[in-house]
Amino acid sequence: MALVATGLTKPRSLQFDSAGNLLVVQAGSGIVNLALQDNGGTCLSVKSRKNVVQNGGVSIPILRILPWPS
Amino acid sequence: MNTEDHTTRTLLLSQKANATLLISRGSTSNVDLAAETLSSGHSQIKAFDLNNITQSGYDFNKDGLLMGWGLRNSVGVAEHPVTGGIYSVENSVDQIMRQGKDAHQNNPGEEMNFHGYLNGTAYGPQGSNYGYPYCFAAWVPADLPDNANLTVGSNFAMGDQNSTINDTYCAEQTAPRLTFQAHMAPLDMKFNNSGTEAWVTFHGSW
Repeated sequence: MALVATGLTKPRSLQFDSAGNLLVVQAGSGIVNLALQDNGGTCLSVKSRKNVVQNGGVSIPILRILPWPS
Repeated sequence: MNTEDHTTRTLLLSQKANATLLISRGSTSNVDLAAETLSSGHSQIKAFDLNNITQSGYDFNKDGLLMGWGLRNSVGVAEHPVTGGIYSVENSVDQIMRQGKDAHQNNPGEEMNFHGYLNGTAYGPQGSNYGYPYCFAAWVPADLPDNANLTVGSNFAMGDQNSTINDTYCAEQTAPRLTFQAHMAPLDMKFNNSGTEAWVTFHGSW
């Protein structure tokens, strides 16, 4: 098991975007976008981090529309 | 469904089984004895066929395919993109005591559980009981009284053992596939496209 990212506040849902960035909902603070650095093998680290949505006091779920029927 | 504690519900649409929706529902309190009764619908993951919904809608407690029960609050649910295997991550009990000792600092572990498949592939423990509200996975066995038979991930009985609820009974309930540090609170789980990795968010201790 590898630790990829720390310093998150109340992380909940996670989802990858089409560019391979990791989106994480932080309950009460919004959605953060983590660009990942592949250091080889199972070693991944966060290259950069930016806020997608900043929102205090609101828990925002990530919804993904799945193709259906698949 | 209405409850006071653990009010979120997790939804997952299967990519492998047509029109099949998984729903995970947790407990109404830290130790919810209603979860001991299958018909309560507490602390269960079930799968529902969206093609056959009746006009009034499904009754979570009565309808659907049981993927597992005795799952305290399994908020993260994921389907393996290759095998279709259904996995969940569990938020286990707080303030655990065992035989008079406060063992909550490092026990129980959080869990990743496996629930079989939605495509009809048989999996014996599908729909089985995963232990809650009586049995939990050890994280630091050395902190538990009477731990000679316990290793990381072993199901053990909370509180005082008796003739029905004891470590022997707990060993018969389905054990986790992976055990995580106590109180890490895993809330979501996603596989990468090739299914070689699972990603889990951990809220951390509340």
